[in-house]
Amino acid sequence: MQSRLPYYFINSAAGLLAAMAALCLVGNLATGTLTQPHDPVLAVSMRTMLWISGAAALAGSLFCVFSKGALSKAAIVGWLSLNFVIYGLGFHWAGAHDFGSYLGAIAGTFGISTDAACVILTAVWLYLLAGSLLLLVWSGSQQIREQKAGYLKISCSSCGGKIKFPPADIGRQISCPHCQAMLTLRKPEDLMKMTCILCGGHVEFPAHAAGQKIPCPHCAKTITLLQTA
Amino acid sequence: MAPPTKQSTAKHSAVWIVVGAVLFVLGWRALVMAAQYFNEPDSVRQLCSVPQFEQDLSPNNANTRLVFCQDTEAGVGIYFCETDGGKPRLLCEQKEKGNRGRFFSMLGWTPDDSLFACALPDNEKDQEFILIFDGRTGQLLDKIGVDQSLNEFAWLSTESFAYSAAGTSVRVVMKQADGGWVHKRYFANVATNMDNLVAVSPDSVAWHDGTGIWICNINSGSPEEIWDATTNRLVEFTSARDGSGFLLNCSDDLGQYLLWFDPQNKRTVDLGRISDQQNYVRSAIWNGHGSSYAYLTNDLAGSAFCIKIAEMNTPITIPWRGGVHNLTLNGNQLFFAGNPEDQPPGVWEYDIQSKTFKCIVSSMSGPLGNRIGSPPMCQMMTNSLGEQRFYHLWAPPHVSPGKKYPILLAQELNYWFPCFQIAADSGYYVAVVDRPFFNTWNGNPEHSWVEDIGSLYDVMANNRNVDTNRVYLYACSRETYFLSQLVDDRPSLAKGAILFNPTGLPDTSVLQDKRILLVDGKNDGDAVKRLSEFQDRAAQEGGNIITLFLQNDTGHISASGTTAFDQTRQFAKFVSNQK
Repeated sequence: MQSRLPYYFINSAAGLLAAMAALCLVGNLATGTLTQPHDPVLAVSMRTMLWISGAAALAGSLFCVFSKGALSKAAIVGWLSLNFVIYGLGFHWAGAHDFGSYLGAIAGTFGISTDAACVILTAVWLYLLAGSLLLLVWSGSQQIREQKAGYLKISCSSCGGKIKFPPADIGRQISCPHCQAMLTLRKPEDLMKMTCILCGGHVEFPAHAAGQKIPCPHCAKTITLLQTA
Repeated sequence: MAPPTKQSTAKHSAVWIVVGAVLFVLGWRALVMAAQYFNEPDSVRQLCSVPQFEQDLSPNNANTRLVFCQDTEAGVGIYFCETDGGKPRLLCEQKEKGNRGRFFSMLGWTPDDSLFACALPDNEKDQEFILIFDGRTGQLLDKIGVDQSLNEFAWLSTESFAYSAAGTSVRVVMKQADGGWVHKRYFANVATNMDNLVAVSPDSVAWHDGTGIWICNINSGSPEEIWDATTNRLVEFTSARDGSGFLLNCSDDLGQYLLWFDPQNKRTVDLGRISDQQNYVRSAIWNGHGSSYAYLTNDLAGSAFCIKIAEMNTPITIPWRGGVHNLTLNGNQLFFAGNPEDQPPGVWEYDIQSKTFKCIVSSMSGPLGNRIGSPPMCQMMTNSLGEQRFYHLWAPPHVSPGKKYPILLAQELNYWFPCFQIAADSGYYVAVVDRPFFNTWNGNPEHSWVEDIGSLYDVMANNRNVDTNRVYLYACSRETYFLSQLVDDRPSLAKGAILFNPTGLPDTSVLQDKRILLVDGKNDGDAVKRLSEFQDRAAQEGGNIITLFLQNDTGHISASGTTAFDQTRQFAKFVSNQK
C-alpha cells in the first residue's frame, strides 16, 4: 500500500496541474478583451502572469506523465508549487490585501466568486507543495533505510524492471512487481549482461540461462542470451 | 508483443487523469457559458444591437424630405429619406477608426430646399469638409475644405453660406458662376466663444457670445451686440429661419419662461412661463417667421411637447410616453428622434392638424420583442437641495414580495438608453433621475448629481424589495466625477459602479470590496494609463474587482454601432455577474 502512494500523488499532481493550466489559459482566452491589473510582485499584467502560470502548469503536468522516476516528478511538482506559494506570499508582502482581486479573469470565466477562485488555487498549490515535499522526504528516508539494510538491485529478465530486495531474500521466488512474471531473486553479481542486437536494450540474465532464446524485454523480438564483451 | 508493464499502465492512467482534468475544466466553462446564454433574456441580446440616432434631424422646409444621422456598423452615417415613407438611403459615412475626435454634423437646408449640407471631417487628414448635396436626389455636388475647425453654419441664400471657425471668426463662402464654391470673406476674431450662428438675412448673421446676442453684416463685418442677458439666465436660444425674431429660453428661481426678441426694434416680448421646474425645458424651436414654436419638457407621463402654431392662441401640450433625443418644428409638422416607452428609438412625425404620430424611420425592423419587464414608472421626488426631480423606475420581471433585488441608480437625460432596460430585464430595480437640461450658456454648468442620486437612494431604500447591500451606480463621462464624489463621501452606499468614459475616478483608499466596471476608448486621451493605474491601485487596496474594458479605435465618444454594441455587452455581462 505504501508503495502506491507516490503513484497516486504523482497522478493527482498531473491532473491538478493540467486543470490549473486549463483554468489559466481558458480564463485568459475568455477575457481577452478586458485589461487585467498588474500584479504587485513582478509588476507585469495578470494576463501575462496567467499565460506564464498556465504554461508552467502544463509543462509540469506533461513532465509528470511522460518522465521517469517518481523522485524527479516530485521534485518538479515541489519546485513549481513552491514558486507559486512564494509568489502568493509576495502579494501580501507587496501590500495587496486580497489575492482574489487579481483573479477576476478566472472567477468571471468560471462563474465563481474571486474568493472561491483564491481558495481553490491556494488549496491546490498547498496540496502539491505538501505532497511533493512529503514524497521527497519519504523517498529519501526509504533510500537511507535501503542503504542501511544493504538492499540488492537486479533487473527482471522478462521486462527489465528494477527490483530491490534485502539480502535475506536471495533465492526467493517472487512475481515481478512490474510485469508479474515469476523470477528468482539472485545476487546481482550472478547476473550476466548483454545488449539486444536488434533494439540496443540492456538485458541481464543469470549464467545458467546463457544460450537460451527469449523475447527481448524491450523490443519483444527473439534473441539468444549471450554475454557481450 | 510485450505485456503491458507497470510503468506503461501508470503512464496511461496519468494521461487519462490529465485528459479528464482538462475536460473537466473545459466542461465547466461550457456549462457557465450555457448558463449565461440561457439565463440572459432574449431582449438583452436584442437591445445591444439597436443602432442609435445621433445629432439633429434635418427636415427640409416643405417637410417632404429628411436627413438624419444614425450609427452604422463601422461608424456614423448620414441618411436621406422621404417623409412619406421609403427606405432611408445612406449618403456618406464617417468611420470610427481613425477619427480624430471630430464628428460630422448636419448643417441644414437652403431656403428653397434645393441643397443641404453636412460637415464631414477627413479621418486621414486633420481637415474638415462641407459637403453640399442635391436636395431632391441626395447626390453629392461639392466638397469644400474648411479653414480651421467648423463650429456653426448658416445658409445665407441658395448661393452663399457662412460658418464660424474656431469659435472666434466668421467665414463666408459663395457660389461662382462656374458652379464652384469659394471662400469670399473672412472676419477674424469677432467673438471669443461663438455659438448658435444663424442667418438673419442674406447679408447678416447673428450669434451668441458670452451673455449677449450679436449681429454682423457680412458686407461691413462689424459686429454689434443687440441683446444681453443681464436680468435673467439664458438657457438656449433659437432664431426664426429668416432671423426676424429670436426665441429665448430663460430660467430663474421660479422655473423657465420664453421671451421673444425682435432684433429690428430690439423689443422683448414675454411669451409666458413654460415650467415651474428649472432646466426641464429644452430644444425650444422657433419657426414660421415667429408665428410658431415648440419645446420639450419632462412630465410624469415621460415627455411632453409644447407646441404653438400660428392658428393657436395658446400652446398645446402633447404627451409622449417615452424619451426624446431632439426635435424640430416645421410648419404643422413636428419631427423628432425618440422612443415610445420601452421601445427602441426611431424618427417620428407628429402632425399638429390631424394629431397623429407617424414613425418615419425605425431603428429596428419591428417592435422590440421578448421584453419581460414592465415599462418604467415616472415619479417625482425632492432632492436634498429641495429641488424637484422626475425619475423613472424599472422593476425587475416577476417581483416576489419577500425577495430582495439589486438596484442600479443613475441620472440621464430622458433619452432611450438600452442599458437601463437590460439591467431591469436582468433582475435589477433601475431608478434613473431625469437629468435637468443644464445651463452652459455662461460656462457655468450646474450639477446636482450627488444630491439627486443620494436622495434617490434614500427614496429607494424604503422599498422593501430593494437590497440596499447591492446598490450599483452608473455614470458616464463628466458625471463620473460626481459619482466618484458620492462614493468618496458615502463609501458604504454602493456595492459597485459602472463608469463609461470616466473623467473622474473614486479615491482608491476608500474603496473596499467594490465591483467596478470601467469602459473607455483607448484613444480617449490618457485613458489607458489613467484607468490601468486606477485598476492596479484599487486591486491592491482591498478586495476590489475592477473590470476594465478599453476599446480599440475609440475615443471619448463611441461613434459606431460596433462600439456601442461592445460597450452594452460589457454592461450586460457585468450586471449579470453581480446579480
